[in-house]
Amino acid sequence: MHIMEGYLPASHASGWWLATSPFLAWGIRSAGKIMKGNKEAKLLLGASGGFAFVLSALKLPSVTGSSAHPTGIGLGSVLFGPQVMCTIGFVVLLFQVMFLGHGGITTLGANTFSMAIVGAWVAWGVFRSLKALGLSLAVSVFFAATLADLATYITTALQLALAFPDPVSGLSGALAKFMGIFALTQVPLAISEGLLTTLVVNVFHSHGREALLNLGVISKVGESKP
Amino acid sequence: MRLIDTWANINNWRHHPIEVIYLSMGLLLLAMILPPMPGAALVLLTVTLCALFGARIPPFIFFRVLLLPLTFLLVGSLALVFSVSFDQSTGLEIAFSDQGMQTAKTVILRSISAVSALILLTLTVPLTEIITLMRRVRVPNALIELIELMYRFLFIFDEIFASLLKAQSVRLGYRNLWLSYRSLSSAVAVLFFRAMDRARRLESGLESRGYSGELRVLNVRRKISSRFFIFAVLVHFIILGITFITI
Repeated sequence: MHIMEGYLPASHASGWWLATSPFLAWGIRSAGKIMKGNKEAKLLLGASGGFAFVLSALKLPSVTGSSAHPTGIGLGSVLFGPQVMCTIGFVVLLFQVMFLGHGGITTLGANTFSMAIVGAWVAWGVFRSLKALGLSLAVSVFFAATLADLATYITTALQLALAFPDPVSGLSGALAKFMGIFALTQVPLAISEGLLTTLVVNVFHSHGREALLNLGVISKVGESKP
Repeated sequence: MRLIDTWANINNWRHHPIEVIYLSMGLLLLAMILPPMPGAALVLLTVTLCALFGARIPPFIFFRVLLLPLTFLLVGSLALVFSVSFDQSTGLEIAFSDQGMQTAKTVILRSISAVSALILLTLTVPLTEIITLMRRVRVPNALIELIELMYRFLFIFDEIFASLLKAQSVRLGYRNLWLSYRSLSSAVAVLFFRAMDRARRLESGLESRGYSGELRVLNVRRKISSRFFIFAVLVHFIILGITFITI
């Protein structure tokens, strides 16, 4: 769930833009390097971005029947790495503003921060550390995607709480409120996305092992089945 | 997904992208910094008139797009209206808060008018024109190329994905929750392979036509209409003027 246009006051919106910009500059630079080095890599990067966008506009099947959208950031970050995902995530969010009316220009900085920076790095960090601990691919991917989603929503709740502290209990109260509302809607969503991402990676593992090897997600051919 | 993009390409203001970008971004700025009453309300009114009578967006389309973020607005504002406090003696207390109500009113009005200014932009200016402008103000080339490529691919992928989902659902792949997850995950995986395949095929197609790593497109040089521009400046100043007179 992205913060809508105009929801954050001007000072907060520009502050989050400022916080996002160094990560974005870094991400764009590394994307530029990938594009320069290899003509094919440029198109693959573009295709990955298009894939990430379609994924982000997807409706997840859920028990309650309400439409729930995944962020796709967990899968993207595991496949392409967090640096590239930051840039792709930024463009995905921009397209969501332009084509779907989700989020906004002034809040694009805040939304990029929560989804494409915090989400992507959490996904990548969790995935790498769980893999290093020797857990299976499936378990690592599940926790990476689920925790990335949760981290994104916690960051969003924090951004809203900072902008609108509770009149009685201040920041902590506001954080509790926004987290409470998000917990109802987003925890099931995070788990569904974790599940879906795991299933997708399973399909990759059985049908497109080379792709995973090329992307560095798995290290050797003989790796045990998830 | 194509609704907004389609109207951006066929509305009445299609040939004045620079002026519309100036007009709508100015309105967005006004909605953000002026006191919501009357500033934001005036922006909302102006945008509605511009979109319906200037750009000739059908009212049904305009209001449908305007109401898209409604869920976020309702859920987010719910938290603003109530205040919570936690006390050792009284426990958790949730109360209706007057101050919160005031904040909610301000935020809702500001958001709706900011969204309206934004959709005036998205419904009247196609992405290609925004890319042209980005290139002129020297946005890093890597970002522009990524945006162009993603724009090129996303409609193709959306079509592939829709046909995958349809093929699965006619074979009862979404009969229950577990099957839905299974079908959806294989559709996502297949989409990924198709996407990578598309990129490779595009590459070899381009390569055979002398691709040097750069994708050049022809941009139409547009004349900026000074009448439109003066209109935009006037609109901004009238809103500013009324706001300062009434407060």
